[in-house]
Amino acid sequence: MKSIESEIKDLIKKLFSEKKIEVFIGYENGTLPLRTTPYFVSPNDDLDKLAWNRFCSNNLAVYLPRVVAKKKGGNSCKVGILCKGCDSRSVVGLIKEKQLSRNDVFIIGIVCPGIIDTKKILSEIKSSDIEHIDEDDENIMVKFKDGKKNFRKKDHLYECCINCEFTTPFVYDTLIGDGKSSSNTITSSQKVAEFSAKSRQERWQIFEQELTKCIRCYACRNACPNCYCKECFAEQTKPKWFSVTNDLSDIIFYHIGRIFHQAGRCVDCGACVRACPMDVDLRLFTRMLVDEVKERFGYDPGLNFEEAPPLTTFASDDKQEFITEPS
Amino acid sequence: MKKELENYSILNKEDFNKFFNTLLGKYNIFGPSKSDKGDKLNKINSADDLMLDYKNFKMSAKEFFFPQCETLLAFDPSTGIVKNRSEDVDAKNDIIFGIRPCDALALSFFDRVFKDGAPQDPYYTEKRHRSTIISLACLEPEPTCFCNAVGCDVDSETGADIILTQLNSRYLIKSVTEKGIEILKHLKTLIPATEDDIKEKDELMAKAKSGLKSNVEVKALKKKLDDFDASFWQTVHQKCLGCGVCTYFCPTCHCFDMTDEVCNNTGRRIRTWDSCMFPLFTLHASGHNPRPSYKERMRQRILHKFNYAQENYNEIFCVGCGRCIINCPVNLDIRKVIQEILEAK
Amino acid sequence: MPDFEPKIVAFLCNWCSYAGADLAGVSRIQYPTNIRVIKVPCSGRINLLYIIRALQKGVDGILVSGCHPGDCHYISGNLFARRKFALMKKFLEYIGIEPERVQFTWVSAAEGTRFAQVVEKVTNDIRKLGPLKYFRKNDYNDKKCNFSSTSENPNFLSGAVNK
Repeated sequence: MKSIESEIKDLIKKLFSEKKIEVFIGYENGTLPLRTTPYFVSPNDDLDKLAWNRFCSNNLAVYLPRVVAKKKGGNSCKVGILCKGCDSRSVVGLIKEKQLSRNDVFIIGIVCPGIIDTKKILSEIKSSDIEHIDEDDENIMVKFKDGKKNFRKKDHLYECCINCEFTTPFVYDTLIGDGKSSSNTITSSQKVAEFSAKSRQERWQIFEQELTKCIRCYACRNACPNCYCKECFAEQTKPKWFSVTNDLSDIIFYHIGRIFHQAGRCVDCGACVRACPMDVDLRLFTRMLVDEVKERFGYDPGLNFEEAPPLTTFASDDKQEFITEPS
Repeated sequence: MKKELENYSILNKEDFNKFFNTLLGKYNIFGPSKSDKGDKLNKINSADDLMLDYKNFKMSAKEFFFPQCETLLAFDPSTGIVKNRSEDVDAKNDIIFGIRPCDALALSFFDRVFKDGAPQDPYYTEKRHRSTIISLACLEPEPTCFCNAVGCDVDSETGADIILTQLNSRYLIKSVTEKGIEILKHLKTLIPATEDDIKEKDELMAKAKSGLKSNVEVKALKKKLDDFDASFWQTVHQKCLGCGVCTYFCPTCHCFDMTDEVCNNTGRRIRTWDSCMFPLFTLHASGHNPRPSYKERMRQRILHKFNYAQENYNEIFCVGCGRCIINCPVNLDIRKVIQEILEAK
Repeated sequence: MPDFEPKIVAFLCNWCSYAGADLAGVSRIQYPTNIRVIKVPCSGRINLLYIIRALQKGVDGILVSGCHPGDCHYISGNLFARRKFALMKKFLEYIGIEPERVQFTWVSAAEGTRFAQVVEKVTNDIRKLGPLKYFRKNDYNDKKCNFSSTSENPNFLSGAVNK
């Protein structure tokens, strides 16, 4: 990974010196084991801290609208951003929905090897006192207080990474890493299929069970690049859609509303799931809509600028098998 | 020396269930146990449900006294009934069993805000008067703990009525307040403590303290924070997503909102948690928002904890439990924020 | 549940379905009285939030009706709507809401009979399912109102969901 890291650093230095960007958003190592944290680089920062590794989980596209907007008013400002496949799709989504202009961003695309689920690894280690982490191509070696353990990278990926079809960004200004296409073959979600096969009562029960955990901190919404609404329906007071309580009914209302608002826009980056402090498996529900949109309208969000998002267009012969006919 | 030992007693581990069941007969006991929402305070019906080998549980103890959503009163215009919360009171008092010293300290801050000042909050005060806090000293702090840096400690007693320390095969029990002494009186399972017990405790505590690796220094912070328009505010908030995780998990965050909810001509007035990280928190009816961006909201959170609290209560409203660090979706670490502020010119 | 009469909210578009309902009325066609009509400018105006709010506030089922594809007063409103409805229907079914609870149809201004038939079918479907209880928010009258008293409510959830 070292070489990719230095390649990124050289590129950023070049971009700054050519005044092509004013801010760069990347990653640095976090304060917790096996975590990285977003890193805002300004022209005079030394880039020692900048990191690229298998724990760069955050979708940085979420910061773009506000960073670009903040610098506006005077001359137009360019923001450089490090994008994995899913992140670049989010950026494209933001541009398509007119939250950004293509000229405002310089996308450093990076071929994503799949991001490792920190929680999966930590759940297998009893101790939280991690002393040292090392890695080779296949494994992560974690040394902790009472021992050490090897983790195969392939078996500890985020679920969205296991099902990821687009590890290489489609839209970028520079691409780093070998452009080898993804080796992922399991592109449909097993979990969604299993869930659909259950009875209606069971499905509702699981849905409720998952959402009982929710504490309405809105981390899922705020971590999502698609959730850029100035005023979220959850906070609207005219009309007030639902109450602020933690009654299950209100929590469910919020999640149905938010998940459906992602229909045809969700790139399945998994940011909402990773952000959730209560481990609500939101992806079980968002992913179903991703699959449905693909099956019905043949659309994958965020791959190009030309194709219209499925809910902003129509075909005269769209399927309508769900329409009620009088019997 | 004798006098000092007076408040200490010893409970052998094999007597624990007996001790606990005696308490169960007289009180409603809430303690850490496993649930759908992670390890948290739940009602305990038998000593077996209790889970005492945790490091710290996920949600802080504040939700017991200050629930995320609390009905203050309910009304039914058709019958003209307005029912106030304080009308239904359980005959048994409560014991909060086995929270960490940091959570107990945080409760003492809640007392300052809701109970000890004027006006007094009747909902909080009532629950607080009914309950006794039995805290459990930390033997093994987590890497995210930084209680030593903010005036708390692994065996801090403030806020607790009784503090338990797990020694080898027995518990050392210390009653801190009159309330604590009252509860432990006449309990036959307890035997007097010896100086050796205290010595063992001191050794364990010293070992636990050495496990706290944080080197955050908050003494010099106040002066830095007095500069409201300092330039470091431009950068420390940058990666904040503006969600409510840090405030909802924080054992000392106590901001709330009140709403009237109406449904089919009946209604209730509720108090819910609010968070200074949400734009709606300060949005005026006119549409003006005095804290329009992430920068102002982040500044508010830091200043409230580390500056305003010192001015108003002479305390730092942070107990170093590390929950905000563990749960933040972008790993925005409060220790690092403090460090950055201190290092800023 | 023989005595159960469902409450159904019908969102009807101003130009076709509302006029269709009107025609059913002036033609004196008999149909169940369970629907409460809300007129919307176009079926394209329907938002999923309308539907879930109605369900949360005590309705047992929803009927949405617009102009037949190709007949929209706004040319394509119902065609956009059709895509949205398809996803709504699938999604609500996926999370475990009975598909019969939320139904979509097309009724033109000339189809008074069809309107009556659709309402008949939807009402029968929902009557068979019984009241929608699992998502509804309760009244807050003093008996049901759950004060989050610590002893009453060990999980501190002042849940007003009627199970």
